[in-house]
Amino acid sequence: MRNVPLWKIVLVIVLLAACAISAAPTFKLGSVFAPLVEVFGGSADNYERDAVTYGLDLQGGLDLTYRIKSDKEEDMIKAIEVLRNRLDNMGVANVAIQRQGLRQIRIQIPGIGGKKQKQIKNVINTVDLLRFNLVKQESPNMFSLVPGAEDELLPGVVDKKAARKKDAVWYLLQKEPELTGDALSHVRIAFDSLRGKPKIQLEFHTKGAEKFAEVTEKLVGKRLAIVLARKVYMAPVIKEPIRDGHAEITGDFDIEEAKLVTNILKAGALPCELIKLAENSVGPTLGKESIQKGIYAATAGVILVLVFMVIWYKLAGVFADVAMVMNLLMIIAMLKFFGATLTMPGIAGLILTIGMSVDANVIIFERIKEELRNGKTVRASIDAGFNKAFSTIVDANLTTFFTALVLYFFGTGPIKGFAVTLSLGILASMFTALFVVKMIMDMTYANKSTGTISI
Amino acid sequence: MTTLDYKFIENRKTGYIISAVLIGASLLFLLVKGLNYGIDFKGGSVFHYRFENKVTETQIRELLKVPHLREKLGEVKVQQVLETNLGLDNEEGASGTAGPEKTGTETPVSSSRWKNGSEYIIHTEFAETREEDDVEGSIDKLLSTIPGGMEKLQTQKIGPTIGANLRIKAAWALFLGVMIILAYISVRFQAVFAVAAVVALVHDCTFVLGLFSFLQREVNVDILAAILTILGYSLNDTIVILDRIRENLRLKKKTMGYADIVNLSINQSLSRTINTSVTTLLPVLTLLLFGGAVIRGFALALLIGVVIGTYSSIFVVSPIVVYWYYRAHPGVARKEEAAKA
Repeated sequence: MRNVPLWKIVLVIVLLAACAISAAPTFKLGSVFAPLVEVFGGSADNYERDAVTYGLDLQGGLDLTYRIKSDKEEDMIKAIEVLRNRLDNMGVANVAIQRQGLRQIRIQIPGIGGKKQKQIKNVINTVDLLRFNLVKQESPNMFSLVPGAEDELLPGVVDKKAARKKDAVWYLLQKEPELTGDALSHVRIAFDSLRGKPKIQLEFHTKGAEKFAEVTEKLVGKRLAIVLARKVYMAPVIKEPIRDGHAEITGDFDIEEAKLVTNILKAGALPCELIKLAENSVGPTLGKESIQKGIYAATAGVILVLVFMVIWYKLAGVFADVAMVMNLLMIIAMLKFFGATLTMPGIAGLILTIGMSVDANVIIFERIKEELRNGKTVRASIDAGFNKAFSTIVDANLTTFFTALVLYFFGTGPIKGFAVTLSLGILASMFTALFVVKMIMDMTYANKSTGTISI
Repeated sequence: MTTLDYKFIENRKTGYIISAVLIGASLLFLLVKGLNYGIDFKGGSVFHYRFENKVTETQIRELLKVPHLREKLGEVKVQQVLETNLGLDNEEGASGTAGPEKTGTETPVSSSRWKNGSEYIIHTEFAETREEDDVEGSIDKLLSTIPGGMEKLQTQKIGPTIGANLRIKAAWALFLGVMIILAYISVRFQAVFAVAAVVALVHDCTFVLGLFSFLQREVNVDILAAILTILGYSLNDTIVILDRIRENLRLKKKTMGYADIVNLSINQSLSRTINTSVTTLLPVLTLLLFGGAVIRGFALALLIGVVIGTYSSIFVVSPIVVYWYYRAHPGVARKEEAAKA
C-alpha cells in the first residue's frame, strides 16, 4: 500500500464522493446523502429534487422555430421583446427564447402539456392578439363551415361548465380585421357584479375611438366578433354605433385568465408575421416513458458488462467495473455542473459509454497479460502494461472525441446531448482507466514482487 | 494462453470477396431503392398517437379521408408502432378522467396502462404555417371519435427549409469528420494508414446505409448521429491495430516480412478487439431490446456499425496497408519469400 502517495488516494475518494453526492438525486437516491446536506446547512428538499436537467424529449414540452417575415433588424428585436413579454405573462417557467441567425427565433418551453401548448402557440403565432372581425357564419359543427380565401375559421370560447364538446361553437370570420389591439390606449380588469365574474374593459385612444365608431356604424345589424389569441370571446350584434371609445369583454374567464389576457394585451402587437419553420411537441407521458426505458436499458447494459468483465478478467475485471460505475457518476455530475441537458440520445450516449469506457481497461489488461506471458514479474507487467497502453488509448479515444465534437457543432438539441455525454464519457473513462485503476492495482499488488495476479 | 496465429493476411482474398459482396449489394440498394428519409430531411409532419383499444390502420385512414383535409395533408402514411411494454407501470396512473374524451386534458389517464392498446404514427406533408395547427386540431378531433381513450404522445412538424438546411449540415459534418480523421492519423502514423482507415470508414458507412435502404427504415438525424458514432468507434478499433503495426514495425523490421508483421499485429490485438466489441455490443443490444421505439433505429444502426466496424478493422484496413507497401516497394515481396525458404 505504500507505493501509492496519499494525495492520490485522497483525491480519488473525494472525487468519487463528490460525484456520488451530485449524481444521487438523478437516480432518485438523494435520500442517502440528504442528512449530509442538512449538516452543511443546505436544504434536503432542494437537494433531493436537484436532478440533472432533462431535455424536452424527456420532460415533455414545446420547441418552436420561427422566421420573421421582415428584413428589418428592428422588427427582429421588437418581435423577440414582444414574445418575451407575452410568454412571461403566461405563467410558464423556463421559457427559452433564442435568436438563431438573422431572422430565426427559437422558443423552447419545457414541461407543459397539450392544452397549454395550444394556448402558447396561439399567443406566439398571432400578430395582433386582439382583433375585431366581421362574423359571416356561426355553427356548432366545424365541418359545415368551409373557409374561403378571405375567411378564417375560429373556435368560440366554450363555457367551461359544459362537459361535452357539443357545446362548442365555431365562427366563420372575415380574415381582415376591422380593428386591432393597437387602437387601444388602456386595458383593465373590472368586476362584473351582475354575473359575479371579472370582465375586461377596453379603452380606445382618440384615433382608435374614431375608427371604432366608423366600424360600428358600418356594421349596424351585423355581428362583430371580439377575437383574443385566435379564440372568439364574444360576437355581439351591433345595435348602434359606439362612439364613446369603450368596449367590454365579458366571457367565462376567472380572475387568473383575465389577468393573463390583460397583461398580454399590454405587451403589444408583433411588428410582423412569424412563419413557423419547425415544431416539436412532446407529451409528458412519452417523456416519462423514455426515461424509464432508458434507465431500464442502461441498467441491463451495465449489469451485462459488469458480469462479462468479472468473468473475463476476474479481479482486474472488478476494478474495471468500479471504474465504470465511477464514470457514470462523473458524467452525471459533470452534466449538472455545466448545466447541460440530458436527452434521450444522451442516455444512449451514456449506454454506449458504458461499453466503450471499459475499452481503455481492456487495452491495458491485454497488455499486462502479454507482458506476463513474456516473463515479466507482476509489478513490472502492470507498469509496462499501463505505459505501453497509454499512447494507444490516447490515440483511439481522441479520434472518437473528435467525431463527438463534430456532432456537437453540427447537431441540434437531442444530438448535441448525445455528443456531450459521449465526450464526457470518453474523458471520464480515460481518467478512470489510467489514473484510478492504476492506483487500485498499485495498491493491491504493492508488496508482491513475485506471485500471481488475477487478470 | 498461446499466441494466436490466424492467417488473416494470407487469406485476405476471402475478405476482399466478402466486402465486395456487401458493398456491392449496399450500393445497389442505395441506387435503386434509395434511403427512406424521415421528416428531419424531407420536411413534413408526424403525429404520434396512442389508443386504449386495438385500432386498425384502415380505421385511421378512413377517418382521415375528410375532403377538406385531403389537400392539406397531402400524402398520408400511417404506421403502427410496436412497443414492448415489459410491464412498465406509471405510478401516476390513477389521475385524470376516465372518459372517452382525452384530447387536450392536462392529466391524461396514463396511457402506459393501456396494455391492449395500439400506437400509430401518422406522417403527412407540412401544411402552411397558420393552417398547420388547425390541421392538427382536425386530426385530433377526427381520431377522438374512436371509442376508448386516446393520447397524443408527440408531434413533430418540420418545414422544407429546415430540411434542406439539415442535408447540407449533414454533408458538412461527414466531410469534416473524415478530414479530421485523415489529418490526425497522417500525423500520428503515416499517410497510407490514414487512407486505409478512411477506406474502412467509407466501407462501414456504405454498408450501414445500404442495410437501411434494404430495410427501408427511416433515416433521421439520429441515424446520422449513429453513423458518426460508428465512424468514431470503427476508428478506435482501427487505431488499436495500426498502433500495434507501428510498434511491431519498429521492433521486428529486421526479422520479419511486412505481411507477417501486420498479421502478427492483428493477432496480438485480437483479444482486445473482440472484447471491446462485446462490451460495446452488450449495452447497444439492451438499448435495442429495451430502449423503446423512439431509439430503436439508432440502436440498430449502432449494432450493425459496431459489427461491421470490427470486421473492417481486420479485413479492410490491414490488407490495404500490406498491399500498398508491396506496391510501393517492388521486389521486396520476392526477397521476403526467398529469406523464408
